[in-house]
Amino acid sequence: MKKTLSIVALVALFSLNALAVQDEITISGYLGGGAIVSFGEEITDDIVDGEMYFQGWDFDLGDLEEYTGTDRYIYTKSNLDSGISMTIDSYNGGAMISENGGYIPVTYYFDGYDAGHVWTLGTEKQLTSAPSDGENSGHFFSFQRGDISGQPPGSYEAYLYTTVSAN
Amino acid sequence: MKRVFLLLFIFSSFLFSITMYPLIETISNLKKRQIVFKVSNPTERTVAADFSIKFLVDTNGKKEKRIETQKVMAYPSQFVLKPKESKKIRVRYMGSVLPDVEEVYRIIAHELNIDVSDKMQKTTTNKVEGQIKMRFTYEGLLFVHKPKAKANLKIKTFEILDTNSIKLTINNIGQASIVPNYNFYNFIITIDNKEYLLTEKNLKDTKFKRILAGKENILILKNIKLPQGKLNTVRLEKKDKK
Repeated sequence: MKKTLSIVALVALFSLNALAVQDEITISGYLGGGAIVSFGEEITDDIVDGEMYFQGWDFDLGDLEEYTGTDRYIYTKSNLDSGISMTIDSYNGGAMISENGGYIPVTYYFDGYDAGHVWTLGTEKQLTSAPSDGENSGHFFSFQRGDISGQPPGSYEAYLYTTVSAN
Repeated sequence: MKRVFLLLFIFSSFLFSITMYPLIETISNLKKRQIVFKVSNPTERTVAADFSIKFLVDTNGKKEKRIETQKVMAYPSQFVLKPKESKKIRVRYMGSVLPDVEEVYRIIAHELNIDVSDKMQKTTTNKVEGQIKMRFTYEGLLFVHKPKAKANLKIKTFEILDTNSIKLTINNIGQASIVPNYNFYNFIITIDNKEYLLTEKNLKDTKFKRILAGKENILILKNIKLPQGKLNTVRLEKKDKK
Protein backbone atom coordinates (compact mmCIF):
# COMPACT_ATOMS: atom_id res chain seq x y z
CA MET A 1 0.00 0.00 0.00
CA LYS A 2 1.44 3.24 -1.03
CA LYS A 3 0.67 6.62 0.33
CA THR A 4 1.91 9.81 -0.98
CA LEU A 5 2.55 12.94 0.96
CA SER A 6 3.39 16.05 -0.92
CA ILE A 7 4.29 19.48 0.20
CA VAL A 8 3.53 21.44 -2.87
CA ALA A 9 2.39 25.00 -2.67
CA LEU A 10 1.43 27.91 -0.59
CA VAL A 11 -1.60 27.24 1.48
CA ALA A 12 -1.47 25.42 4.77
CA LEU A 13 -3.96 22.62 4.64
CA PHE A 14 -3.88 19.06 5.72
CA SER A 15 -6.45 16.39 5.45
CA LEU A 16 -6.33 13.47 7.74
CA ASN A 17 -9.25 12.01 5.91
CA ALA A 18 -6.88 11.41 3.10
CA LEU A 19 -4.40 9.57 5.21
CA ALA A 20 -6.94 7.37 6.80
CA VAL A 21 -9.32 6.63 4.03
CA GLN A 22 -7.72 7.33 0.74
CA ASP A 23 -4.19 6.57 1.81
CA GLU A 24 -3.05 9.74 0.26
CA ILE A 25 -2.16 13.06 1.73
CA THR A 26 -1.43 16.35 0.19
CA ILE A 27 0.06 19.05 2.29
CA SER A 28 0.38 22.50 0.98
CA GLY A 29 2.30 25.01 2.87
CA TYR A 30 3.79 28.37 2.74
CA LEU A 31 6.74 28.69 5.02
CA GLY A 32 7.85 32.24 4.49
CA GLY A 33 10.97 34.06 5.51
CA GLY A 34 14.63 33.74 4.83
CA ALA A 35 15.30 32.19 1.51
CA ILE A 36 13.75 30.39 -1.36
CA VAL A 37 14.35 26.72 -1.33
CA SER A 38 12.60 24.40 -3.69
CA PHE A 39 12.51 20.81 -2.69
CA GLY A 40 11.34 17.68 -4.32
CA GLU A 41 11.17 17.50 -8.02
CA GLU A 42 13.97 19.95 -8.46
CA ILE A 43 15.93 22.43 -6.50
CA THR A 44 16.05 25.37 -8.78
CA ASP A 45 15.91 28.65 -7.04
CA ASP A 46 18.71 30.73 -5.72
CA ILE A 47 18.76 32.14 -2.28
CA VAL A 48 17.14 35.48 -2.54
CA ASP A 49 15.86 38.10 -0.28
CA GLY A 50 12.40 36.74 -0.05
CA GLU A 51 10.55 33.77 1.13
CA MET A 52 10.94 30.10 1.50
CA TYR A 53 8.84 27.62 -0.34
CA PHE A 54 8.54 23.92 -0.28
CA GLN A 55 7.53 22.57 -3.61
CA GLY A 56 6.78 19.12 -4.80
CA TRP A 57 8.21 17.36 -1.85
CA ASP A 58 6.85 13.92 -2.23
CA PHE A 59 6.72 11.47 0.55
CA ASP A 60 6.14 7.95 -0.49
CA LEU A 61 4.63 6.01 2.31
CA GLY A 62 4.93 2.31 2.10
CA ASP A 63 7.17 0.22 -0.08
CA LEU A 64 8.36 -1.50 3.00
CA GLU A 65 10.62 -3.95 1.35
CA GLU A 66 12.74 -1.25 -0.19
CA TYR A 67 14.20 -0.29 3.09
CA THR A 68 16.84 -2.69 4.25
CA GLY A 69 19.04 -0.65 6.56
CA THR A 70 18.64 0.34 10.11
CA ASP A 71 15.88 2.55 11.36
CA ARG A 72 17.65 5.67 10.24
CA TYR A 73 17.44 7.22 6.87
CA ILE A 74 19.35 10.17 5.55
CA TYR A 75 19.01 11.64 2.16
CA THR A 76 20.58 14.79 0.90
CA LYS A 77 19.75 16.63 -2.23
CA SER A 78 22.10 19.36 -3.27
CA ASN A 79 22.28 22.06 -5.79
CA LEU A 80 25.62 23.66 -5.33
CA ASP A 81 25.07 26.03 -8.21
CA SER A 82 22.56 27.81 -6.08
CA GLY A 83 24.31 26.91 -2.88
CA ILE A 84 21.33 25.07 -1.52
CA SER A 85 20.98 21.59 -0.32
CA MET A 86 18.55 19.68 1.75
CA THR A 87 19.10 16.88 4.16
CA ILE A 88 16.33 14.71 5.41
CA ASP A 89 17.27 12.74 8.43
CA SER A 90 14.83 10.55 10.19
CA TYR A 91 15.52 8.56 13.26
CA ASN A 92 13.60 6.01 15.11
CA GLY A 93 11.29 7.59 17.62
CA GLY A 94 11.62 11.04 16.26
CA ALA A 95 15.10 12.00 17.31
CA MET A 96 16.57 14.76 15.25
CA ILE A 97 20.11 15.03 14.04
CA SER A 98 21.14 17.85 11.78
CA GLU A 99 23.49 17.09 9.00
CA ASN A 100 25.21 19.86 7.18
CA GLY A 101 24.91 19.16 3.56
CA GLY A 102 25.21 22.44 1.80
CA TYR A 103 23.94 25.87 2.31
CA ILE A 104 20.69 25.21 4.07
CA PRO A 105 20.29 21.71 5.32
CA VAL A 106 16.83 20.88 6.46
CA THR A 107 16.20 18.18 8.94
CA TYR A 108 12.82 16.57 9.25
CA TYR A 109 11.33 14.28 11.67
CA PHE A 110 7.84 13.44 12.42
CA ASP A 111 6.62 12.77 15.87
CA GLY A 112 3.44 13.08 17.73
CA TYR A 113 0.83 11.49 19.79
CA ASP A 114 -2.84 11.11 20.22
CA ALA A 115 -4.98 9.21 22.58
CA GLY A 116 -3.86 5.68 22.12
CA HIS A 117 -1.70 6.20 19.09
CA VAL A 118 1.77 7.29 18.35
CA TRP A 119 2.91 8.88 15.17
CA THR A 120 6.43 8.32 14.13
CA LEU A 121 8.46 8.78 11.05
CA GLY A 122 10.72 6.09 9.86
CA THR A 123 9.97 3.38 12.30
CA GLU A 124 9.39 -0.29 11.77
CA LYS A 125 8.66 -1.23 8.24
CA GLN A 126 7.42 2.02 6.91
CA LEU A 127 10.68 3.62 5.95
CA THR A 128 11.38 3.55 2.28
CA SER A 129 14.58 3.76 0.39
CA ALA A 130 16.03 6.85 -1.14
CA PRO A 131 14.98 7.43 -4.70
CA SER A 132 17.30 5.85 -7.18
CA ASP A 133 15.84 6.83 -10.47
CA GLY A 134 17.53 10.09 -11.09
CA GLU A 135 17.39 13.73 -10.43
CA ASN A 136 13.66 14.16 -10.50
CA SER A 137 12.81 11.70 -7.83
CA GLY A 138 10.81 12.79 -4.90
CA HIS A 139 11.90 12.43 -1.36
CA PHE A 140 10.56 9.28 0.05
CA PHE A 141 9.40 9.01 3.54
CA SER A 142 6.96 7.17 5.56
CA PHE A 143 5.22 7.59 8.78
CA GLN A 144 2.83 5.54 10.71
CA ARG A 145 0.14 5.90 13.20
CA GLY A 146 0.70 3.02 15.48
CA ASP A 147 -1.73 1.41 17.84
CA ILE A 148 -1.24 1.14 21.51
CA SER A 149 -3.38 -1.69 22.58
CA GLY A 150 -6.19 -0.88 24.94
CA GLN A 151 -6.13 2.84 24.38
CA PRO A 152 -9.24 4.37 22.97
CA PRO A 153 -9.09 6.45 19.83
CA GLY A 154 -9.59 10.10 20.40
CA SER A 155 -8.44 13.55 19.58
CA TYR A 156 -4.80 13.89 18.88
CA GLU A 157 -2.10 16.28 17.97
CA ALA A 158 0.92 15.39 15.97
CA TYR A 159 3.94 17.50 15.24
CA LEU A 160 6.17 17.72 12.25
CA TYR A 161 9.46 19.18 13.33
CA THR A 162 11.76 20.85 10.88
CA THR A 163 15.08 22.53 11.33
CA VAL A 164 16.34 24.92 8.71
CA SER A 165 19.99 25.42 9.37
CA ALA A 166 22.34 27.74 7.56
CA ASN A 167 25.68 26.17 6.78
CA MET B 1 -6.05 0.64 13.67
CA LYS B 2 -8.53 -0.26 10.96
CA ARG B 3 -11.20 0.41 13.47
CA VAL B 4 -9.88 3.87 13.86
CA PHE B 5 -9.70 4.41 10.15
CA LEU B 6 -13.33 3.60 9.78
CA LEU B 7 -14.25 6.47 12.01
CA LEU B 8 -14.88 9.76 10.46
CA PHE B 9 -11.87 11.92 10.77
CA ILE B 10 -12.44 15.56 11.16
CA PHE B 11 -10.55 17.76 8.84
CA SER B 12 -7.31 18.72 10.40
CA SER B 13 -5.50 21.95 9.85
CA PHE B 14 -1.84 21.77 9.02
CA LEU B 15 -0.08 24.66 10.56
CA PHE B 16 3.10 26.15 9.36
CA SER B 17 4.93 27.98 11.98
CA ILE B 18 7.41 30.76 12.51
CA THR B 19 10.01 32.00 10.12
CA MET B 20 13.21 33.92 10.62
CA TYR B 21 14.95 36.38 8.40
CA PRO B 22 17.80 36.76 7.59
CA LEU B 23 19.51 33.46 8.13
CA ILE B 24 23.03 34.80 7.87
CA GLU B 25 24.49 38.04 9.19
CA THR B 26 27.98 39.42 9.70
CA ILE B 27 29.38 41.97 12.09
CA SER B 28 32.70 43.34 10.89
CA ASN B 29 32.40 46.85 12.23
CA LEU B 30 31.85 47.63 15.88
CA LYS B 31 29.90 50.72 14.97
CA LYS B 32 27.32 48.31 13.59
CA ARG B 33 27.42 45.84 16.39
CA GLN B 34 23.67 45.69 16.71
CA ILE B 35 21.68 43.89 14.10
CA VAL B 36 18.09 42.83 13.78
CA PHE B 37 16.56 39.48 13.01
CA LYS B 38 12.90 39.27 12.25
CA VAL B 39 10.76 36.40 13.42
CA SER B 40 7.35 36.20 11.81
CA ASN B 41 4.21 34.23 12.31
CA PRO B 42 2.56 33.61 8.93
CA THR B 43 -0.16 31.46 10.44
CA GLU B 44 -3.64 32.32 11.57
CA ARG B 45 -2.90 31.35 15.12
CA THR B 46 -1.06 32.91 17.98
CA VAL B 47 2.22 31.16 18.62
CA ALA B 48 4.95 31.31 21.23
CA ALA B 49 8.60 31.31 20.28
CA ASP B 50 11.97 31.68 21.83
CA PHE B 51 15.15 33.10 20.45
CA SER B 52 18.56 32.03 21.59
CA ILE B 53 22.19 32.37 20.66
CA LYS B 54 24.91 29.78 21.01
CA PHE B 55 28.59 30.03 20.33
CA LEU B 56 29.57 27.59 17.61
CA VAL B 57 32.65 25.73 18.77
CA ASP B 58 33.07 23.06 16.15
CA THR B 59 31.34 21.78 13.04
CA ASN B 60 33.35 18.61 12.63
CA GLY B 61 31.42 15.42 13.20
CA LYS B 62 27.77 14.73 12.78
CA LYS B 63 26.51 17.23 15.27
CA GLU B 64 27.69 20.73 15.84
CA LYS B 65 29.28 21.58 19.15
CA ARG B 66 27.68 24.67 20.64
CA ILE B 67 28.07 26.34 24.00
CA GLU B 68 26.29 29.08 25.90
CA THR B 69 27.57 32.58 25.39
CA GLN B 70 27.16 36.00 26.97
CA LYS B 71 29.12 37.71 24.25
CA VAL B 72 26.10 38.19 22.04
CA MET B 73 22.85 39.26 23.59
CA ALA B 74 19.37 39.22 22.14
CA TYR B 75 16.14 40.87 23.13
CA PRO B 76 13.45 39.69 23.47
CA SER B 77 14.29 36.07 24.02
CA GLN B 78 10.74 34.80 24.39
CA PHE B 79 7.64 36.23 22.89
CA VAL B 80 4.18 35.58 21.60
CA LEU B 81 3.31 36.32 18.00
CA LYS B 82 -0.22 37.02 16.99
CA PRO B 83 -1.43 35.91 13.56
CA LYS B 84 0.61 37.57 10.81
CA GLU B 85 2.67 39.41 13.39
CA SER B 86 6.44 39.88 13.18
CA LYS B 87 8.85 40.63 15.95
CA LYS B 88 12.18 42.32 15.56
CA ILE B 89 14.86 40.72 17.68
CA ARG B 90 17.77 43.01 18.46
CA VAL B 91 21.05 41.17 18.63
CA ARG B 92 24.09 42.94 20.02
CA TYR B 93 27.71 41.93 20.06
CA MET B 94 29.07 42.72 23.51
CA GLY B 95 32.77 42.39 22.81
CA SER B 96 34.85 45.55 23.01
CA VAL B 97 36.98 44.68 19.99
CA LEU B 98 36.49 42.52 16.95
CA PRO B 99 38.17 39.14 17.38
CA ASP B 100 41.36 38.30 15.50
CA VAL B 101 39.83 34.95 14.63
CA GLU B 102 36.23 34.89 13.52
CA GLU B 103 33.59 33.98 16.05
CA VAL B 104 30.54 32.17 14.77
CA TYR B 105 27.22 32.12 16.56
CA ARG B 106 24.10 30.10 16.02
CA ILE B 107 21.02 32.28 15.99
CA ILE B 108 18.10 30.04 16.85
CA ALA B 109 14.41 30.84 16.58
CA HIS B 110 12.23 28.05 17.83
CA GLU B 111 8.51 27.73 18.08
CA LEU B 112 7.40 26.42 21.42
CA ASN B 113 4.92 23.64 21.95
CA ILE B 114 2.73 25.89 24.00
CA ASP B 115 -0.84 26.52 23.07
CA VAL B 116 -1.32 30.26 23.39
CA SER B 117 -4.25 30.47 21.04
CA ASP B 118 -7.75 31.01 22.20
CA LYS B 119 -9.28 27.76 23.27
CA MET B 120 -12.24 26.59 21.29
CA GLN B 121 -15.14 24.84 22.84
CA LYS B 122 -15.05 21.19 21.98
CA THR B 123 -18.13 19.10 21.70
CA THR B 124 -18.04 15.48 22.58
CA THR B 125 -18.52 13.28 19.56
CA ASN B 126 -17.59 9.79 18.55
CA LYS B 127 -15.31 11.19 15.90
CA VAL B 128 -11.58 11.32 16.00
CA GLU B 129 -10.33 14.83 15.85
CA GLY B 130 -6.91 15.37 14.55
CA GLN B 131 -4.43 18.09 14.10
CA ILE B 132 -0.94 18.11 12.77
CA LYS B 133 1.22 21.04 13.62
CA MET B 134 4.43 22.01 12.01
CA ARG B 135 7.17 23.25 14.25
CA PHE B 136 10.08 25.04 12.71
CA THR B 137 13.43 25.81 14.16
CA TYR B 138 15.54 28.27 12.25
CA GLU B 139 19.25 28.11 12.85
CA GLY B 140 20.94 31.12 11.39
CA LEU B 141 24.55 32.13 11.57
CA LEU B 142 26.17 35.28 12.86
CA PHE B 143 29.78 35.86 11.93
CA VAL B 144 31.88 38.32 13.90
CA HIS B 145 35.25 39.08 12.41
CA LYS B 146 37.58 41.80 11.27
CA PRO B 147 36.79 43.30 7.89
CA LYS B 148 39.54 41.53 5.99
CA ALA B 149 39.34 38.15 7.67
CA LYS B 150 39.60 35.30 5.20
CA ALA B 151 39.66 31.54 5.25
CA ASN B 152 42.81 29.66 4.34
CA LEU B 153 42.38 25.97 3.79
CA LYS B 154 45.16 23.42 3.77
CA ILE B 155 44.79 19.72 3.20
CA LYS B 156 46.44 18.01 6.13
CA THR B 157 45.98 14.41 5.06
CA PHE B 158 44.23 12.43 2.36
CA GLU B 159 43.29 8.81 2.25
CA ILE B 160 41.60 6.63 -0.33
CA LEU B 161 38.58 4.97 1.23
CA ASP B 162 37.67 2.91 -1.79
CA THR B 163 38.03 3.19 -5.53
CA ASN B 164 35.63 6.10 -5.65
CA SER B 165 36.08 8.02 -2.43
CA ILE B 166 38.78 10.09 -0.80
CA LYS B 167 38.83 11.21 2.80
CA LEU B 168 40.40 14.62 3.35
CA THR B 169 41.38 16.26 6.59
CA ILE B 170 41.34 19.98 5.98
CA ASN B 171 42.77 22.66 8.23
CA ASN B 172 41.50 26.18 8.16
CA ILE B 173 44.47 28.30 9.20
CA GLY B 174 42.73 31.52 8.20
CA GLN B 175 40.76 34.00 10.25
CA ALA B 176 37.33 33.26 8.83
CA SER B 177 35.22 30.18 8.23
CA ILE B 178 34.15 28.86 4.86
CA VAL B 179 32.18 26.06 3.25
CA PRO B 180 34.79 24.38 1.06
CA ASN B 181 32.58 23.56 -1.86
CA TYR B 182 33.40 23.89 -5.52
CA ASN B 183 31.90 27.34 -5.67
CA PHE B 184 35.02 28.54 -3.92
CA TYR B 185 37.64 25.89 -4.59
CA ASN B 186 38.97 23.67 -7.31
CA PHE B 187 39.61 20.16 -6.12
CA ILE B 188 42.64 18.82 -8.00
CA ILE B 189 43.92 15.30 -7.67
CA THR B 190 47.05 13.79 -9.15
CA ILE B 191 47.00 10.15 -10.16
CA ASP B 192 50.12 8.60 -11.66
CA ASN B 193 51.50 12.12 -11.89
CA LYS B 194 48.62 13.28 -14.05
CA GLU B 195 46.37 16.05 -12.74
CA TYR B 196 42.59 15.86 -12.75
CA LEU B 197 40.24 18.66 -11.85
CA LEU B 198 37.19 17.28 -10.12
CA THR B 199 34.07 18.58 -11.76
CA GLU B 200 30.82 19.57 -10.14
CA LYS B 201 29.43 16.26 -11.29
CA ASN B 202 32.28 14.42 -9.57
CA LEU B 203 31.47 16.23 -6.34
CA LYS B 204 27.71 15.97 -6.41
CA ASP B 205 27.61 13.34 -3.67
CA THR B 206 29.99 15.17 -1.38
CA LYS B 207 28.55 16.87 1.67
CA PHE B 208 30.36 20.09 2.36
CA LYS B 209 30.41 21.43 5.87
CA ARG B 210 31.57 24.78 7.07
CA ILE B 211 35.09 24.74 8.49
CA LEU B 212 35.55 27.22 11.29
CA ALA B 213 38.65 29.37 11.51
CA GLY B 214 41.45 27.58 13.30
CA LYS B 215 39.66 24.23 13.08
CA GLU B 216 39.92 21.15 10.97
CA ASN B 217 37.17 19.11 9.38
CA ILE B 218 36.98 15.81 7.62
CA LEU B 219 35.57 15.95 4.13
CA ILE B 220 34.77 12.81 2.19
CA LEU B 221 34.73 13.15 -1.56
CA LYS B 222 32.18 10.49 -2.41
CA ASN B 223 31.61 8.64 -5.64
CA ILE B 224 34.09 10.68 -7.61
CA LYS B 225 35.04 7.79 -9.89
CA LEU B 226 38.79 7.97 -9.74
CA PRO B 227 40.89 6.93 -12.70
CA GLN B 228 42.97 3.80 -12.21
CA GLY B 229 46.40 4.42 -10.74
CA LYS B 230 48.23 5.68 -7.70
CA LEU B 231 46.86 8.76 -6.01
CA ASN B 232 49.80 11.09 -5.57
CA THR B 233 48.31 14.32 -4.28
CA VAL B 234 45.10 16.14 -3.55
CA ARG B 235 45.07 19.90 -3.40
CA LEU B 236 42.64 22.76 -3.11
CA GLU B 237 42.98 25.77 -5.30
CA LYS B 238 40.98 28.84 -4.44
CA LYS B 239 38.91 30.08 -7.31
CA ASP B 240 39.34 33.63 -8.44
CA LYS B 241 36.42 35.91 -7.85
CA LYS B 242 34.69 36.72 -11.05
